[in-house]
Amino acid sequence: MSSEKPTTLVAELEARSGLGSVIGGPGQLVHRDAGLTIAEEAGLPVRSLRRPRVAANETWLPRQLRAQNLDLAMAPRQLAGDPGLSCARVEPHAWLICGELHRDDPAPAGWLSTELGDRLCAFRLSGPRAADVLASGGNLHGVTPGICARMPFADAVAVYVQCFASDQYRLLVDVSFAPFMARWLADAANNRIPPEGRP
Amino acid sequence: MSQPFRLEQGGRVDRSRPLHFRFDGRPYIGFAGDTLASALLANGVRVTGRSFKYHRARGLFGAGFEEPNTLVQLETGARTEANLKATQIELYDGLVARSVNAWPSAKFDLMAVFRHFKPLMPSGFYYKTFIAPNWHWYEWLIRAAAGLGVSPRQPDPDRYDKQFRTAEVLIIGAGPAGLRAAIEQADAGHQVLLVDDQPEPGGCLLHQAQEIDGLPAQRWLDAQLSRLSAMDNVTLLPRCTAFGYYDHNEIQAVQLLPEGPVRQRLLHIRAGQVILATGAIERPLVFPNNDRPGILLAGAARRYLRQYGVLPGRRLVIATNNDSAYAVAHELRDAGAEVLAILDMRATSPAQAAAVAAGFEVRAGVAPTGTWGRPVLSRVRWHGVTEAGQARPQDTGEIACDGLLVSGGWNPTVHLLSQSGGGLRFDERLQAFVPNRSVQAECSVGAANGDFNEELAVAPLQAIDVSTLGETPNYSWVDLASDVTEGDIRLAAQENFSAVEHLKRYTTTGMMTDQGKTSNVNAIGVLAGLAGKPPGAVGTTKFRPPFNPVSFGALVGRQVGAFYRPLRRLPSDALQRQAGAVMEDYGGWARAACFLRDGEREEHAVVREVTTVRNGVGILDYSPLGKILVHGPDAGEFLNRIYVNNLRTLQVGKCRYGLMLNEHGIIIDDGIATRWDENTFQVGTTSGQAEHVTELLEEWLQCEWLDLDVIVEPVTTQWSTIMVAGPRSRAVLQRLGLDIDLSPAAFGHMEARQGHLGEVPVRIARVSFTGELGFEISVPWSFGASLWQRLLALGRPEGIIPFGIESLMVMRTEKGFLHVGSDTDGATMPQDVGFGPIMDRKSEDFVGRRSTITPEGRRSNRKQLVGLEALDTTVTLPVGGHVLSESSGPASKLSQGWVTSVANSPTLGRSVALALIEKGPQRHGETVRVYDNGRSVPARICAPGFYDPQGERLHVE
Repeated sequence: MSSEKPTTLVAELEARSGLGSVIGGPGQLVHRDAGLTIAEEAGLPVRSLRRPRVAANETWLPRQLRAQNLDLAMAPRQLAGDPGLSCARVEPHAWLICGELHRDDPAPAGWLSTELGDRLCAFRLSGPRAADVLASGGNLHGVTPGICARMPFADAVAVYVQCFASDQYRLLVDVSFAPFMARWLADAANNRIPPEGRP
Repeated sequence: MSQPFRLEQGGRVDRSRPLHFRFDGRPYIGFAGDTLASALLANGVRVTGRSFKYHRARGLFGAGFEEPNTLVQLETGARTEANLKATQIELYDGLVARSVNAWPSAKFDLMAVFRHFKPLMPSGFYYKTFIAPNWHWYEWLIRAAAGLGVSPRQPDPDRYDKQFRTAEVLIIGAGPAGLRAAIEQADAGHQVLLVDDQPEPGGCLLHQAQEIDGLPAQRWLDAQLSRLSAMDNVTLLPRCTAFGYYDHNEIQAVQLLPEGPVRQRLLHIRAGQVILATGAIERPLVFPNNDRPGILLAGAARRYLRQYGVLPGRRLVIATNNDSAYAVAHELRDAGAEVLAILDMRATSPAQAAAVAAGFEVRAGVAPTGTWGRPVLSRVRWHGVTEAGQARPQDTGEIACDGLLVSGGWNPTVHLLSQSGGGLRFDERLQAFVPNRSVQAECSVGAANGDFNEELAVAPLQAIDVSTLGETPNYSWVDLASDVTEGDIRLAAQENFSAVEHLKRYTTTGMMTDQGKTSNVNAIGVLAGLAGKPPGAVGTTKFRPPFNPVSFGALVGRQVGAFYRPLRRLPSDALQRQAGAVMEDYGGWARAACFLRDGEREEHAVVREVTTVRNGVGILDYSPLGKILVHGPDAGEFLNRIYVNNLRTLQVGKCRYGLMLNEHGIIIDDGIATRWDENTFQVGTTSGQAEHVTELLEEWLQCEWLDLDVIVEPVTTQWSTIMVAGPRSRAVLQRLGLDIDLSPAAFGHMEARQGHLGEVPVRIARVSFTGELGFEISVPWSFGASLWQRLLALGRPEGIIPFGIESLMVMRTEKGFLHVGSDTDGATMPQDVGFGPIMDRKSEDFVGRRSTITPEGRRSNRKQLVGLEALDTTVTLPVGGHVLSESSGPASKLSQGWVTSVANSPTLGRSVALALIEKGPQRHGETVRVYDNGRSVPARICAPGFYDPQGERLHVE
């Protein structure tokens, strides 16, 4: 055993995304061409809000979101907001908030508010080819602007797909699959299918 | 002369673009726009394949997906693809193909000797032979002789892809009916997806001269395509074959992509409405030796002529039982072929009179009854036939010819409809099965629905009966692809395989790559004749996907190599690899088995790591351990019902081990539960089981215990966890700068704390799976790699090392700790692993409890967990080895249990093991034999804890 004098280190640990990007810095650019950009959103804040089955404080979440100029998504799979701050109803009693809340009131008793920003790695896909690339991994049936869907993807993982516009998507994947997903998306983006045409 | 059967003009091929190709080793030339089949026909290659069982010479019979004969092995090396139909391969420069099931070539096949054994190989012969002494005597020979093409031995270098897509209206087939439907649907404002197996749309219009809506076919086609091209709500996918119709209107199709980096892609299409415009397939005539090269379907001949500018022969005979073949006769004669005779089974027909008036020799009421040639057709024999199809011996003749074109009517292509669950009925007018009932949102149109442009006037469905000539039907081929004759069907019926599904399996008719496209209805016709029933009463078999063969490449897509089974990555993955980690798949996670130093072998690394942890400190990335938050006022009650252990009484800040059962009382998972506050628990699961356990918890909450106010949230990968183990672990952690008091007095074993490292939230549990003092420290995942580096740096004075899963497994085996999945199986209950007293103390019910007290659960000789130590300290006990008693006699050969875990313990200096053994705990001290692969090792049964059984090392200061 070494007789070196023990030292104490209280400096902050460094945070890195699932792809190794420094949190707070730019995320990794997975692919870019004229029709498609795929980029990691390193450090995207993600919060899960789960309401107790026995309804309590039903007004809290709408009030909280209104304070951020964000509507409460109430229909199944509805996605409200924009890529900067969004709210999606992902289960009957569960919502996923993506983005920084300007004001963060503590959840009332009974609710469970859980940070999931570390658990979920976010990829933004934008451009006219975004839907095609995603459709090579999962069924986008019904995933139209304003919809968030959980689905099996790439024959391997469960993901959330959020559609903000017909050429603007976000893919949320478990952080342990982030390196796989980055490689998979880059590979899919390079699989250029000749344009489909009219007869 | 090059391409002796190619016409100077006509067809849709580009004669200015010659393409060189090779077939069976010989060079040929075709043109752009050809298929391999049309190019072979143009070059006068008549023998293009050998039959499946008897190796009879066969030639082109069809012109599309119905082709039963000409299967080829395309290309060589890594790109080789087996059993493709020559009629579906677009010709390209440099193409190389060879016939399958023939050696050395289709023209000269040494395996043709098999045809002499035909009398010994009737239908179902394999059910009656190769029995004595047993099947395995013959298996090797049969397997060597069986099969057609060969799979590549190298990885496929091409790329494949998948696509999921939706369509308001999906139209399958871009022939006249499909195009008409597409215009109607698009006009109505629907988004239309039109798929077609051909490179260009048009279907039969590309090779038929009929008029539609008063316009010649080509002009009508051009007009429709012009209209469609102006519609932005129609998408056409050419070279796209729909092969499967599944529930909820999901269609699967394969698209060939000759340009671009992807060779083929598999489409999953979810459609609101499906319109089947799949056309119809021509039926052959059944008569003796109807399989000779030079005999092909009349409609196929028409396609070769009009689409590819190729004559099927120079001196042709046409045999038909309907009017459709007459147009073919006219077109062939116009193209310069000599049509020697039209043999029409029907006594009269308006088409006959018109043909006679046009100068054709029409023989009414006759049918072909035999063919000759060596092996290519050179002569056809005909006989007059009765209305019942019986040959009249005296009314006969022969015609020398080089081609016989046959037409036995047309079958709507109903395969996809049948796959969808739709029903069929027999149409007497068409003598074919037509759609009758839909069960999904689909409809059939055009020829697929039995709607033909012209009246076919088909004669009844029947084989030509040559028994009146003293001949047998043993060479009247019904299924060319599977080598099934009318005689085979008669034999099957005679042996009572008379139900159509039984017939199919007994004779194999309707199987193979063409899936009975030219044979099924004729087989039903023969069976109906034998049974004295109408064909509609016999019914059809259920068509199954795929409609057309699909390559494995397309089915697999990009799910190969690194994308085949992606492993989950730890936050410290890159750092561990740099440190020499041997990464392996543990429950879907890439984890270090151990860390190698220069020149070190794995077993030595494990010894070094175990020794270091036992005497100093080591770290292991423990992030995959499942973590599930269970929150709510009823969380304690809920977990109390889930776990064998009493979790309701768990105090805040404390941890407790929990065992989870299924309803059968079988152990399915275990882990440490921690109570963070009155209403919030975090339960741990084994690595890789977190999703499964979460689903299980949700199922109980959502389906059974709706009265409980509980929320479940999986957080496994929100937190990165590092196990710090060893007597010096506390010293290392104390240097981190946590705001948590880690002293023994303040932080006891099986306790947990929350705090911070700077501003980073931290959770620590003082638990141990090694038997040493140990902590599991968790930080948000993004800080995991940094924490790993920091601990290694801070622990350097203590000699800290990273250690792997194999070392952990050695330590937990030394300690006798249970590993669910290794030390348990599908029958292990809590009482088998020492949890009987814990269950007895718990008064409340929990999942699986009732099953633990059934007679099976109380059986006295259950296999229970014990320790085993080898008597010879130099011997390693075999994992999986069976435990036998030492006594002699028959009982000594009965397995009393087996070894579940083994460790070559560097700490104890010998091999130790855990085992499930009958009445194990009552047999401590008994000597047994551990048998494995012919070798017996003596061992002693003992308590499972080999190392520090009192647990004193958990409390070192």
